Amino acid sequence: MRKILTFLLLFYGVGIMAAMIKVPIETLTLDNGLRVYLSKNSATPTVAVAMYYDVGSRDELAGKTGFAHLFEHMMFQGSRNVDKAEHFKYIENNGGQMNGTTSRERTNYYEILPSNQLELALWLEADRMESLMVNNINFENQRAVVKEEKLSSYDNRPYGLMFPTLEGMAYENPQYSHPVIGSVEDLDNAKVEDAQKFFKQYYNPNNAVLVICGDFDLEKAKSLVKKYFGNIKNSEEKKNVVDFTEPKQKAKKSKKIEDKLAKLPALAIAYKAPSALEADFYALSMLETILFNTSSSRLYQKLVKEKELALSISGGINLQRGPNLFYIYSITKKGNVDKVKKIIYDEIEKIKKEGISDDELAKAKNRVKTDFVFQLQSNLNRALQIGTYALYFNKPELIETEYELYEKVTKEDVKEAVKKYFGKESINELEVVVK
Amino acid sequence: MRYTILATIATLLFLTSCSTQQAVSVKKEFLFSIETAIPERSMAIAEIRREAYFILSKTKHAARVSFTHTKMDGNEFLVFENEPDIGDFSPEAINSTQNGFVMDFKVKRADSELSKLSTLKIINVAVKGSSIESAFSELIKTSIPKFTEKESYEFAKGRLLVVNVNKVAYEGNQVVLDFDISLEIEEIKALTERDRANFYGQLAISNIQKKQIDLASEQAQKGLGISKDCDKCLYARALLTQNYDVVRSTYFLEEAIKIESKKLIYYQMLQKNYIIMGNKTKAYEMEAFIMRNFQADGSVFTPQKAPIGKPIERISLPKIVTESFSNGVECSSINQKNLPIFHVSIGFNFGNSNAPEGKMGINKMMFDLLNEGADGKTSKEISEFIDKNGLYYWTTVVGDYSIVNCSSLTENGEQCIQLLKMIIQTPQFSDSEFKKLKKQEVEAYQLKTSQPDYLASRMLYRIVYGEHPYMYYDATLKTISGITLDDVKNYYNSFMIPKNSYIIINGDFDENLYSKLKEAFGSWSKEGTEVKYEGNRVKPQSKRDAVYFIHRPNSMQATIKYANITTAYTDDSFSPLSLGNEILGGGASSRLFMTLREKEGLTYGVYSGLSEKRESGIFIVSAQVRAEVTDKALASLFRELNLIVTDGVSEQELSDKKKTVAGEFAISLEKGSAINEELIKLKFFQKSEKDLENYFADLNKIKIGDVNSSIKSYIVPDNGVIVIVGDYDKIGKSLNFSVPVAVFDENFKPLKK
Repeated sequence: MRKILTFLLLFYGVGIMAAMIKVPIETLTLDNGLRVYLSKNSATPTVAVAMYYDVGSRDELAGKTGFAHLFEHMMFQGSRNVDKAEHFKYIENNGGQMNGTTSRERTNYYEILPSNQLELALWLEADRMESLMVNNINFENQRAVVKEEKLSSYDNRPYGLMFPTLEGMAYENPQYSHPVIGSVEDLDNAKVEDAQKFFKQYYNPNNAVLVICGDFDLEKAKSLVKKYFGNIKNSEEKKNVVDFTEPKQKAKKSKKIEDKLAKLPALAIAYKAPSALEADFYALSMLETILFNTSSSRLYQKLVKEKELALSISGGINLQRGPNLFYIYSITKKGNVDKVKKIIYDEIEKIKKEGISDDELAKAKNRVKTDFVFQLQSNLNRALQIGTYALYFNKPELIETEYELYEKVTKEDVKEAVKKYFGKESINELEVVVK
Repeated sequence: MRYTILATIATLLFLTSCSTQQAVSVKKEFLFSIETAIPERSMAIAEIRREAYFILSKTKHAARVSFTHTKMDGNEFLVFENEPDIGDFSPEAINSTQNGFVMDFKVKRADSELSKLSTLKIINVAVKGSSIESAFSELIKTSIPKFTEKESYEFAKGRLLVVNVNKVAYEGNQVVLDFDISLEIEEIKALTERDRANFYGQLAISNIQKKQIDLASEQAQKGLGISKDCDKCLYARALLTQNYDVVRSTYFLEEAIKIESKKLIYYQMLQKNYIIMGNKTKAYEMEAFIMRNFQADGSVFTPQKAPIGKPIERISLPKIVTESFSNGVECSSINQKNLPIFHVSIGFNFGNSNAPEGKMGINKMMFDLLNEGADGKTSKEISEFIDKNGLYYWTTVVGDYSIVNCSSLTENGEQCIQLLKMIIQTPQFSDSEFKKLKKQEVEAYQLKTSQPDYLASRMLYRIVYGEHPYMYYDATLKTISGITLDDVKNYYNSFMIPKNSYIIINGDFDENLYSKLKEAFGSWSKEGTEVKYEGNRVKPQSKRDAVYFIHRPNSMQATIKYANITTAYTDDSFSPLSLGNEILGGGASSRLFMTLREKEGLTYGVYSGLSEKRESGIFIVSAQVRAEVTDKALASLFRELNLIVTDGVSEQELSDKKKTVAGEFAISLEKGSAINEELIKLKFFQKSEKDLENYFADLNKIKIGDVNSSIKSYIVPDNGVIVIVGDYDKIGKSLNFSVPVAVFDENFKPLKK
C-alpha cells in the first residue's frame, strides 16, 4: 500500500509541475545560420547570454591537442573593438559575471548581467565571433596561463591525473581519449597560425548557438541580435574531418598509478555508457542516485557509514552526445581498495540479478524532480541548459521536457541497462596508489 | 559598353618644393608611378588594383591613392579609396560616356592642415579615353606634359611644379611613369621648415625606391637638418640603415612614430626590425599594436564605443515580514511565488569561535552530528527521509554563527520542517555515531592536508589570528582527540536554544505551511545560555616575524597566501575597504589578475578577498604559480599591494566597482536561499534588514577618500603574514625576504632546511 501511495504522489507531483513550470522559448535563425533561442523569465532583473560553439577537444587532430581549450582562453584576449582582457572589465564593471568552458563536445561562453546590459553582452559576443585578435603576444601569454591551469587543476593536485588517465584507458578512439586540456608538448608546438586557422574553422555563426534568458524585451532582443550578428560571415575554412565512433570494449582493462601528492588510495572505475537521449542513459542516470550520490544510497551507506572502508564514493554519467562513460570513484582508507572494489562489483551484480526497489526508484525520481526545479532558479543555468540541448540535439525544449524521459524509467529499465552496460568485460579500473 | 562609377573619392596633386634661387629642374628626384597589378581573377570578376603616389605640399602627408577597376557582368566599375587623413578630395566630375571616361579632379574642400592648399585652387586633370587604360594613356600624353610648360605654372596659380616626363613604360601589368619636376624658388621660400623637411624626406623615400641611395641619404639628412621633427626624414634614414644597422634603423623609426603615429608602414617596419634583432617580445607587442590600431588597408582604426546600459539604481527586494513567536524565536518570512520552491534556514548566533577553552572544533562537530540520529530515528533513517522527500539539507558553520538549512519543493515543505524540528530539537548524539565521526575526521585530515590550499589557509589563520579564537580553521588531530561526547552534549544543551536562534522561511508557501513551521518552532522550549557579545576578546595584530613555508615534496607549483588583520564587518570602513579589494583582486578585471595572469602569465588565477567577521576580519590574497616563478610572482604581488596603498584607486575604478558589487547583489537574489544567510548575518551582527534595502544608496555614498583611507589602514603589505606551500628544495633558494623563512612539514611540524 505504501508503495502504491508513493507512486501516486509522485505522479500527482509531476502533473502539478508540468502545469506550473513552463520555459517559453522563441527561436530565430539568422541568414548566416546562427541559431538563436530567447527565453523570458522576469523573476529577477538579470539576463544571461550563452554562446555555444560546436567544437570541443574531440575535434582536435593528433599533435594538436589542447587547442579547443587554449582557444577558449584566446576568446578573452580582445577583438576588433575590444582590447585585450577588456571583456572581463566590460562585464565585471557593469555588474556581471562571465566565463568560458571547454569539454570534449563543445566550447561555451557565457555572461550574466543586470538585465539593462543585454546589449553589451551581445556586442561583446558578436565582436569576438567576427574579429578575434589572434596574435603572438596573446597566444604566448595564454599558452603560459593554460600551462599554469594544467598544473593547478591536474599536475599539482592530488588525484588530479586520475580522471584523465581513466578516460585515456577507457576510450579507444583518440578523439575522446585525449585530455581536454591537451598535452604540454602539443601546447608547446602550437603556433599562432594554427590558432588563426582554428578560429576560421569553428568560430562561425553557422557553427554556433546563442541563448538569451532572463528579464528582457523579446522584440528588442531580436533586433539587437540581428544588428550585431546578422552581418557576420561564415568562413570557408573546412572543419577537421574526424571520426567519433568508439569500438565496443572486449576485455576488462586495469591500471595502477602512483600519486606522489595523495595520501590516501583511490579507485576509479568507468564503464562504456549510452549517449544522452538514449533511453538507457536515463535508466543509468537513476542508478547514480541509487548507488552513491545521496546519503541513503547503497554504496555510501555500505562503504562510508557501515563498513567505514572509504571516505567518499561518487560518480555518474555525463550529458554527452557521443560515446559516453559511467564513472564510479572512491577515496578509500589505506589497505581497503580491494574490499571496496569487491563491494562495488557485488552491488552491481546484485542489481543485475535482483534489480532495484520501488522505493529506490521513487527516491531517485524525486531527486531528479527537485533538481529539475531548483536548476530553473538561475537564468544562467537556464541559458546553459538550452544551449546544450540546442547544440547537441537541436531540441532546446528539452529543458522543459527532458524530465519526462527520467519519469518514464522503470525498475526493469534500470536492471536491463545495468546488465547491458556493466558487463565484466566493459570494466575500466584504475587504482591510485600512495606511498 | 556602359561604364559605371561606383565610388568616387580620389586625389590628384603633386606639389613639391626645393631650395635654389631660381626655377630649376630637379632631375630624377621624384618618382610618380602608376602601378597596376592583377591580384586575382575569377570567372565573374576581373579586378585590377591600381595605386598612385602623390605628395601634397604644405602638409606632412604623402598620399597613396588606390582605386580598383573591376569588370563585372559586362559593366566596369571604378572604386576609389583614400586614406582618411588626406582630407576630403573628390573628383569634381567623373563622367562615363559612350566614349569612355572623363575625370576632372578638383580639391573640393580644404580644411585643417590642408587649408593652405585651398589657395592653389588646383590642378585640373582631364582624362579621356575609351577605357581605363586609354584614359591613363591620355593622362600621360596630354595632362602631365602640359605642366612642363610655363603655362601650367600659371594655370596652377603660381605654385605648381613643372613636370618632365622621362619615361612611360608598360612592364607586364605595370605602368610606370618616371618624370622630373621643377620648382619655383619663391614657393620654396614660402614653405615652413617642417614642410621643407618633409619634402626632402619624401624625396629621399622616393629615391630609395629608385635605388638612388646616395642621393636619398643626402636628402634625408638635409631634411633632418632643417627640422628635427621630420618623420619622413627619419623614416627614410631608417630605410637606409635597415640593411646594415638595424639598431640605428629601429631608433630612427621609434623617433618617427613619436612624430607621426598614424603610419602603418612605420610600425610594420619596426615589427620587422624587432624580429631581425631577435626581440620577440617587442615584435609581438608591435604585431598586437598594429592589429589593434590599423585596418587592413592601413587606415587608422577607431574602435566602436561599447553599448553600455544605465547602471542599476535600485532593486526591489522581496517583502520581509518578521514575527516573534511566544517562546522568543524570531522568524522572518519572504514569500516568492515564481517557482514551487521552499527554503528554511535556522541561524544560531554562535560559531566556531565560541568553543569553550580547550574544545576548539566542538561547534562544527556538534552541527555535523545533528542529522546522525534524532527523534528515535537512526542516521540511516534520517538519510532515507531526506532522500525520499527530495530534500536538500546542509549546515553553514563559520566563526561567528551557524546555520542549519533545508530546501525542498513546496509540496515537500512539511517534511522539510519536520526534518529541522527533529534534528534541532531532539538530536540523539549516539556514542557510535560520535566515534564514527571522529574516525572520519582523522581520515579526512589526511585527505585535506594533501591539498596545498588547505595547508596554506590553515597555517595562515593560525599565524594571523594568534591567540584569538578566529585562528581555528578546521579540526586538528589534537582537537579531535580532546573532545568527548559529553562535551558535545553539554555544548548543545547550553547554546542550542530558542533564544539564540533566528529563522528565515523563504519561497512559495501558504499560510498552512507557515503555521506548520510556527507550530514546530514556536513551541520549542529549551533553556540554556544566551549568547551575548562582550567584545573583550584579545585583539589580533598584524605583524611579520617570519615567512612560513610548508614543504610539500613533489609540488610543481607554489601556493602563495598573504593576509593581514582588517576590521569588523560592522565597521564603517568595511564597505569602502571591500570596494578597494574589488579593485585590487576581486575578480578577473582586477589589478592582480590583469598583471599576474593577463600581462605576465604567471598564474591561472590570483584573487584577494575580505572575511566578514563580527570582530577583526582579514584581507587575504591567494595565488598558485609554477615553482620556478615564485619569486617573480611574489615581487609582482607585493608591487601591486604597495601601489594601491601608496597611490590609492582612481575615480573610474571606484565607479566601475560600485557597479560590479551592485550587479553581484542583483544576481545573488536569483537563488532564493542566498538572501537567508545575508539576513541571518545582519541580524546577529546587530544590523538591520534595512541595510539590504538601502544597499544601493549606501554604496553610492562611498567616496574615493573613504576607499583610499580604508586601504591605507587595512592593507599593510609590510606586516601581513606570508605562507607559501611548495617544494622547498625547488623554491627555497629563490626566496628573498627581510625576515627569516620558517619551514614546516605537511603536519605543521618545524623542519630544518
